[in-house]
Amino acid sequence: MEHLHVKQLKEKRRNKIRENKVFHAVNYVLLALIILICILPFFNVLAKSLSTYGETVGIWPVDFTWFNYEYVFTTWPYFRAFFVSVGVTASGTVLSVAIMFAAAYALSKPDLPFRKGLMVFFIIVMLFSGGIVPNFFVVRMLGILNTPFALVLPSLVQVYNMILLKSYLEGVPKEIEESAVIDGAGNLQAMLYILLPIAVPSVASVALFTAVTYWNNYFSALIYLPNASQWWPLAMYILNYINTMPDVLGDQTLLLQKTYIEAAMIIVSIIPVLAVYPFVAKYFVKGVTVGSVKG
Amino acid sequence: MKKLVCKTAAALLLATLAMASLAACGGGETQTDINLDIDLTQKPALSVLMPNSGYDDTYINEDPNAQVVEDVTGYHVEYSQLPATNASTALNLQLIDREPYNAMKLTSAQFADLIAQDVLLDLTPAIEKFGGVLQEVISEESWATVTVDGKIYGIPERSSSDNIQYPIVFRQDWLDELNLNIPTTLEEMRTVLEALKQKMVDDGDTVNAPLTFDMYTPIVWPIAAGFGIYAEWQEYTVDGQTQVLYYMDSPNYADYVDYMAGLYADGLIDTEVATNDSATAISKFTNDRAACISTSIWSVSSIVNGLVSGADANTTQENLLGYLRALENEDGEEHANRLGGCSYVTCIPFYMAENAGYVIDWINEKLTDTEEEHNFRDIVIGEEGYHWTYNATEGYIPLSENFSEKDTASYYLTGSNELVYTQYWLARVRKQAELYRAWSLMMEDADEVGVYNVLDWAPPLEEYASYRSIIELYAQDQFFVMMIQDGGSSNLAQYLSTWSSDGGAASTEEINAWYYAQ
Amino acid sequence: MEQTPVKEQEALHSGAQAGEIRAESRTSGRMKDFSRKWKRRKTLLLFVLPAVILALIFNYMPMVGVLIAFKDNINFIRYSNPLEAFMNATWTVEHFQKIFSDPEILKYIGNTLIISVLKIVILFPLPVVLAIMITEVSSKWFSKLTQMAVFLPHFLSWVVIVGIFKSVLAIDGPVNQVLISMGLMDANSPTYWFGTDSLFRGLVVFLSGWKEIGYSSIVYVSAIMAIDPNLYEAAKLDGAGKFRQIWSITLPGILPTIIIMLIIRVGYLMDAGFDQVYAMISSVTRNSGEIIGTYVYRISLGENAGQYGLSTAVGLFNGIISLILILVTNWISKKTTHTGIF
Repeated sequence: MEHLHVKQLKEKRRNKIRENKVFHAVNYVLLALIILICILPFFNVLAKSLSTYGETVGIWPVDFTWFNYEYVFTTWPYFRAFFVSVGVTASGTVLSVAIMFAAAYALSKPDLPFRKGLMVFFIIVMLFSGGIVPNFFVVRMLGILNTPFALVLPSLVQVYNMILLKSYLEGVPKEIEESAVIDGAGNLQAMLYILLPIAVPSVASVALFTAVTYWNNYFSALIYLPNASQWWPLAMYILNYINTMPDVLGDQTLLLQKTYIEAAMIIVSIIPVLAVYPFVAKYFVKGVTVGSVKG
Repeated sequence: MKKLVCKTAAALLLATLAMASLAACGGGETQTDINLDIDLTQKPALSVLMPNSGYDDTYINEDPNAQVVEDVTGYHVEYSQLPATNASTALNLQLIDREPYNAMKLTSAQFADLIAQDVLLDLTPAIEKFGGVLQEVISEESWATVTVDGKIYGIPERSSSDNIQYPIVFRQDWLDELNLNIPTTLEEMRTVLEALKQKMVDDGDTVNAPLTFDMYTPIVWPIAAGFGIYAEWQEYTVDGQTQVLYYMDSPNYADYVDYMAGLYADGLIDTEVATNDSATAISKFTNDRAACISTSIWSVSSIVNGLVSGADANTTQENLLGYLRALENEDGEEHANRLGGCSYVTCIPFYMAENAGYVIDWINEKLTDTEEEHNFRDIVIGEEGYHWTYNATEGYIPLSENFSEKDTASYYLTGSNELVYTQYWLARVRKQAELYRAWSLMMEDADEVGVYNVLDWAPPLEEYASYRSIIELYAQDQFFVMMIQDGGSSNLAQYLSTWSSDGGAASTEEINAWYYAQ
Repeated sequence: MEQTPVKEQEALHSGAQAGEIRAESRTSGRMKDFSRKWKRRKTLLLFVLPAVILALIFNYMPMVGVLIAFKDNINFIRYSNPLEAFMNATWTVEHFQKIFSDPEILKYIGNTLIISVLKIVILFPLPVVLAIMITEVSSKWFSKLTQMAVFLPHFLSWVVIVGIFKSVLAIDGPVNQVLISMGLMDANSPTYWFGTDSLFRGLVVFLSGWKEIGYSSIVYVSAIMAIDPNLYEAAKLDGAGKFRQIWSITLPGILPTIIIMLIIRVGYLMDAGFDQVYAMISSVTRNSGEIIGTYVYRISLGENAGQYGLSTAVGLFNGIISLILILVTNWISKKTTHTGIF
């Protein structure tokens, strides 16, 4: 009898192992396919950035040339815009994430006074806007029109990110903070030394989203820098370049090569994000919180 | 409940604070009178807003042509430019912020927009006192486009030449292979297209079609000419009644649509015309995926560079390219669409009235072109012997290498000397041999053949200005809908009715009132 | 770290409190405890303060401008003082009337809702699936490679994406050629992808998915990372296979995140993606593709560049609808799953 029972268990085990293997195999194949679909169009842009005008470009460069990149790397306004973007994104992300995290921490506590009202307050911020002109007037009134501060400050409040952080924090068991409180920790210490390390995956992803929002934002430059193109961020610079109509009677080569130069600009603008991503991905790690409750 | 009260109180407090602070800001009295008592020897520096140049901000101030303007006028100018995207938004925001521009070079649409908002300065007194040359060299028609209620609000800059510029460009080598000529009638057009289509199929391409154009081309002018449609707004006489009508409204428009729909259904027009952008259409033509393209002659340079490489690109291409200007209409006559009007207007914001006199003087200097002072010529084509030479038969000829410096010259113009501009400008067109050949072909007998858009010489018309973009976009869309989805003009009456109520009727009325009142 | 439903957490919380109180039974101890707690609660408000101040300045102050929706012909250039400009304009509801003036408005609203619902139904679950697939990969470098690859499409602007796909899906382009050679398409009538009205909505959903699935999956990846690995160990010992583990551990573990995301997504129901549709639409696809956003853009072409009454009116209209949707969805969610935004 027992003999049979063990055999059945072993059978089940083997099936499960096979099921696992099949699952993993299929997973890998599907993901590989997905990677391909996502990246292929990029190869088109990359190929274009290394091509000369003439035939249509597929995935491989046509008439390979470094000309487009040379053009980009010797165009000072492009780099000025690049550095502005780096500065605005870095400062904006750090400030925004800090402010949103603090707010999310407070809002995740059910006993926060005015909690419901504050949530409605922020949801309204997320959904309503006065429009271009009123925002323009406020920024002008603060004296930051035509300055890079106008690229950072108005976008610091990102309610969507705050909601993500808040929901993550609400999922953290109360005992973790309670034990610290019993030991005499104040709010600030609890937030920084207990909750922040636990919330790292969420903070990392929110930081990534904030950084991407700042990096891609051209709209702020459009309204708040009407006469300060030296402070244009990269997104605005590239958008502007894409829309310029060079004089048809002027330099023909440049006119024809324009879309290829655009491709090079786009590729170069993605590099910082690709460079930063691995650092952020480091925080998407399993089981950071194991052990913090047991102690 | 308490929370709600607190929140509302806070909101009200904030709103009042906001209103108070907004009320507080804002300057004092604005000087809106032109100072006519100025000393022309004390020339101040001027700040001028320009359209987007395609170059970067520092460059437009360092370009040698900017220096030439300074040398001939004696004024130092700081140029700024609008962005290439959302230019009107940027313009409006800068005006709200009272940017101290002494002058602004704007497109006619932007000009009309600012007129409607009543924020431009009446320049008439300044022109009378300081603009002697202006009054001589700018024509009556041009002044009419910037005059509202007898007051002049801007200096019009007439196009370099009233061009006939929308041909259908053919692959002459393919036509020669088939022993065909460029068609002259609607029937011939069809025959030629069918033969070209057959050639493409024989060469292995069963998918593409001979005729292509982009999605911004509802009217293929050479073909529309066969139906008596020569311009966007034109005079038509129907049953003894003469009026100005939009092309969509014109008597033979339905026939035009049916003709085009027929071509499309038979695979003679590129399937993707409704989604082609301009670059795509041209690239199809230069990549042998089309036999002819309806485009503007200014694409010729790109086309030549796309088909031919290296030094060959600088010669004429009679063997490669042929041009159809317009098909004959039912009476056997050829008429072609001709562009007129003023592409730019230079105007002054009302709050910069003080120094308007200097601005007019500056422009006056720029347009001067006499034996003693060839200011205008210096700006447009430069020095004799260095940039150009002149002979009586051919006119002004560019000296190629040096002349490249002059590529950006027209950018710096604010108003043109209409008496001489066309001749000078031809030197620029000569730069590209094939372009010049194409242009000359198109401009043969231009005065007999060309038909203007009636509105080219109109002042800003309020109703039309506000409905214009909407009715034009609607007409453009419905053309493709009729050609591709409806297979013809069966629903035209319904579309026309929508077009009318969207502003077409109001515009037509206003335009006719103006046209017949002159 | 354990993920327990909110109700259980609340029980734990009160349990802890009760324990504390029992531990300090003397009255004075209880008072000190209480006042310390009250102080803590009040200082918590300081944490929200910076966000509140910034929101007041940059969001609520400009919000006064919402009134522009009710005014006609405000001339901000002529009057240097915005308040004066505002006062000198006339009150009107014509902007709202204009939105509804087009007889086709119902069609545009319909298109907007259909596209939006399609996007939610088809594209909402996919980032979750992708996140699970990514986190189940044992090879770390492959996992990182995948994350980076799927995250890239988000960075291209819609103008660029449409340009690329227009040539990929051209009538004689690579996709059609492959389909023809595989016999799935008739060589004599290849599909005109971007110009066929019936395909438009599908194309919109597909391209939106291509651009955003990877980027949206990041939220779920980080949520999955927060699940206690011990739970998986325990399940494996009990003989649970992959699918069982995913169904019983992963999904419930990230359910709060999924719900929050869903509530917000539903809140934006009226947003079918203006930048995308504007870049993709053409005269022959307006029938199924014209959304409220592109329609408003079209009619506002007739306004002077300085007039924002129409766009402000639309913004106000959309905002109110979104608010209602979020409140309702949140209420439903609270009633059924006890999670919500607030």
